[in-house]
Amino acid sequence: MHRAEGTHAHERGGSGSFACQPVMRSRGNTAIHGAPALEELWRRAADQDAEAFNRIRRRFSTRLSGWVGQIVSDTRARREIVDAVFSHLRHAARPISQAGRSPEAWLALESRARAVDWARAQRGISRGARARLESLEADYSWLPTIQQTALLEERRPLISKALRQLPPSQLRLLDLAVREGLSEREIAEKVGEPEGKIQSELRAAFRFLRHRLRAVMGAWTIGI
Amino acid sequence: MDHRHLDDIYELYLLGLLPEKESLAIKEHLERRCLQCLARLSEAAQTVYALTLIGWEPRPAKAARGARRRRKKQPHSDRWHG
Repeated sequence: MHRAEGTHAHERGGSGSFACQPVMRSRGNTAIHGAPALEELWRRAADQDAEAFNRIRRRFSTRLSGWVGQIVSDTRARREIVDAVFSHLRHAARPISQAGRSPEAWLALESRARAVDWARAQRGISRGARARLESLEADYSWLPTIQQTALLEERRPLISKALRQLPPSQLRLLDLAVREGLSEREIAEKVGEPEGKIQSELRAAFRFLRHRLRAVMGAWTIGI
Repeated sequence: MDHRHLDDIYELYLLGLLPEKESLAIKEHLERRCLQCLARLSEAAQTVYALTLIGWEPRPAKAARGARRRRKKQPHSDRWHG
């Protein structure tokens, strides 16, 4: 969801769900009230413009906190994770921008990885989510483009619909993997099912979503 | 190069949830700048980002928290919403 600078509820200090709000397309365009558009802010952030970073932080901090809060209940830890993500953004903004990729997608993946690692550390199990992203930092060409993330946001209802088509058992496995950061083996231990069955179900869920997403990202939407 | 055996595991790789042996297979492909692997990894990043869009919304306003709490008592699978 991208609105003109200063019009977000969280920029005004409020909070609220963005899940069902209509998408406004302001990427690449000049935002109202003379404030810079998001794409311009990212460009400036890539040039290490401190004011641009502050504006980006104001714009995204509530959203990031919400993502992290789905995994980490501790308020202080949540704040520290969000701080760490924004701090790391200062290093990542330029290479992401140079690769022509979406900083928002990076923010989402980075937040999730740090939150999952924190939660795993609390349970005394090894961490690997952040290390994986770190291993991919040399080249960000794998990140979605800004246009792709805009399209994903715009077509969120279709994605949501596709997700609801999954069997409940597979949805639960997705939840355990994405939000709790559990591997197939760990999920199998947790739910008391054979690892092979969990592997087959979880991979089938991702396969289903991948195929649906191809349709969502394409020009046609028949059958979704 | 045949990638079919890797096709279903890029999301797990990106999430850091793949066993070492399978991780190594993808890592080697990526180090060789395998375009097919890069494309699949990008697709996996889209899928994971889409899941964050759908499922991970900011904390609701106070008025909605009661409803949210009631919803959380439902089975795990109902937590995904958009």
